[in-house]
Amino acid sequence: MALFVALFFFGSQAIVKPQKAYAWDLNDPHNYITPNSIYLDHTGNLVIDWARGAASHLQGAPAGYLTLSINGTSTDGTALLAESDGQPGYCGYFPPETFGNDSQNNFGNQNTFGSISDANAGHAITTEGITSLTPIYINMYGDIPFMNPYQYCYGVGEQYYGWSGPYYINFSAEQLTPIMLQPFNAEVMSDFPNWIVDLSVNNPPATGTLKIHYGNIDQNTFPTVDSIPYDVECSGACDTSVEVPKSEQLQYPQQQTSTQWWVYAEVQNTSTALDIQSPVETFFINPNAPQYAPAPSSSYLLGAGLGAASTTATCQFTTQSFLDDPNGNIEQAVCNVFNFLFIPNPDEQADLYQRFHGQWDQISNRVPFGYVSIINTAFTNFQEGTNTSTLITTTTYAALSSVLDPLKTGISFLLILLLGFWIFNFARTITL
Amino acid sequence: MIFYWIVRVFIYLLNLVTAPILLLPVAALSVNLTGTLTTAGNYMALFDIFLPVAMLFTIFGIMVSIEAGYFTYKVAKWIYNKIPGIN
Repeated sequence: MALFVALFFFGSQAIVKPQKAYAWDLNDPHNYITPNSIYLDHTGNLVIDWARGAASHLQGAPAGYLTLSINGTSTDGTALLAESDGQPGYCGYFPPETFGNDSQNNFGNQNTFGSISDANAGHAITTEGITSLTPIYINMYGDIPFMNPYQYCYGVGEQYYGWSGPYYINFSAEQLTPIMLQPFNAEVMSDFPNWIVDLSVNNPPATGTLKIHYGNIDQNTFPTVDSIPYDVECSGACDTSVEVPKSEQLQYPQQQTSTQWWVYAEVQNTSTALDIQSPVETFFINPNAPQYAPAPSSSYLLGAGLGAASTTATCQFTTQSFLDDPNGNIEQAVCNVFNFLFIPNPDEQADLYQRFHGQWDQISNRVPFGYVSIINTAFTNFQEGTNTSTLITTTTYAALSSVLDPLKTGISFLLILLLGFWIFNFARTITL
Repeated sequence: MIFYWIVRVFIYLLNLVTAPILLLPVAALSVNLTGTLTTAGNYMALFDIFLPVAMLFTIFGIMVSIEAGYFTYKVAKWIYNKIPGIN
């Protein structure tokens, strides 16, 4: 009797307040759904790896279902669906129907779900426009528990409602991230033929189109777009550099000073239907600045700038057999052995280069060293023997170089001399 | 092979020693500040036709480095002398 009264009372509560679930109101819904990560897999499914907390409060709960809504839009039509775990003690058997896709069939453990993802056609959620700031809510609907498990086990009532969130996609665990390598932010360089973008792929394969949007500061927009298709296939996570031919000339013969440009990369990932953009970066084109080689990133594959090994000795002493030319064969064998032992092959050189520059590049970006690097980059356009002044043209500079260059050389000599005197005086008066 | 492993061990040790530096935050200046630096550089570039600006900066950097190193030494020595029992 008491049980019926209690159920009536709770049921009435559920009807009067349909947005509340008494079963789930016992605890914060956050206790029930704890996403470990939210990301997009390589087929475009929005996946939530999650665990269920406070499982004891759901023991015996109905086989309702879970929906997921994005940006608080809908909890039904556009939602993701996944079945809750079965309650064999009450339902009698596992609920085999799949509201979500078939990857959700690990319901043996009542304390955990596997993951929910966008289901088969008709329930898919478009991932277009999702950013790291898009709130994601997990809505929970339930059925009346305990009254008649065999009857209500698969019912899809709305008596119980709870939600959890907002959560946000962790883009660091996302499938694809574009990182501008050439030019990098605040870089000063002369014109270059190709953009270079690192595609950091967490969940290959990744296919789509890489677009580079750019424009100068006067245009105040990104009117020019260069693009190239990409197809990254590797096992596990990987990084790969993609070069995009640049269509617009960024410097002109009459240009003498730096011009400021903006650029950002966009990947239209067809394998996930997700459009991801890199942050907008600023760079400066100066005709007198050097054109940098592709900068290998910290943990990325080595770029194309290293080239082939140039130190490998040629061990070609003979082409005859051992019996015909024993000395030549021995010399060649010794040469090969020493080559093998002491001269790293191109792969090893590339590996050493990457291992050293990987950490060094990171250190050079950390404070306080990073400030030196930034300032150094900002003043890169000062180089001896070049003209960066707008007071005179390059032609005039060339005509006057016979006078100006010795003048600069003389002043440089005087400065070095003064530095020498200063160091001498410093050493003479220093107290340790 | 031998050379490769020698250098690799050396790099490993070097990375190990410098690893704490990676705990420091990444240096970043605002675009405005970076632009200001570049603008200042452009202003100084006006005088680059007869004044060796690059040499000036280099010498200034050397002097600052020496003075900063000396100052660091003095600070370390002062702290060291604060340890009881050490004169």
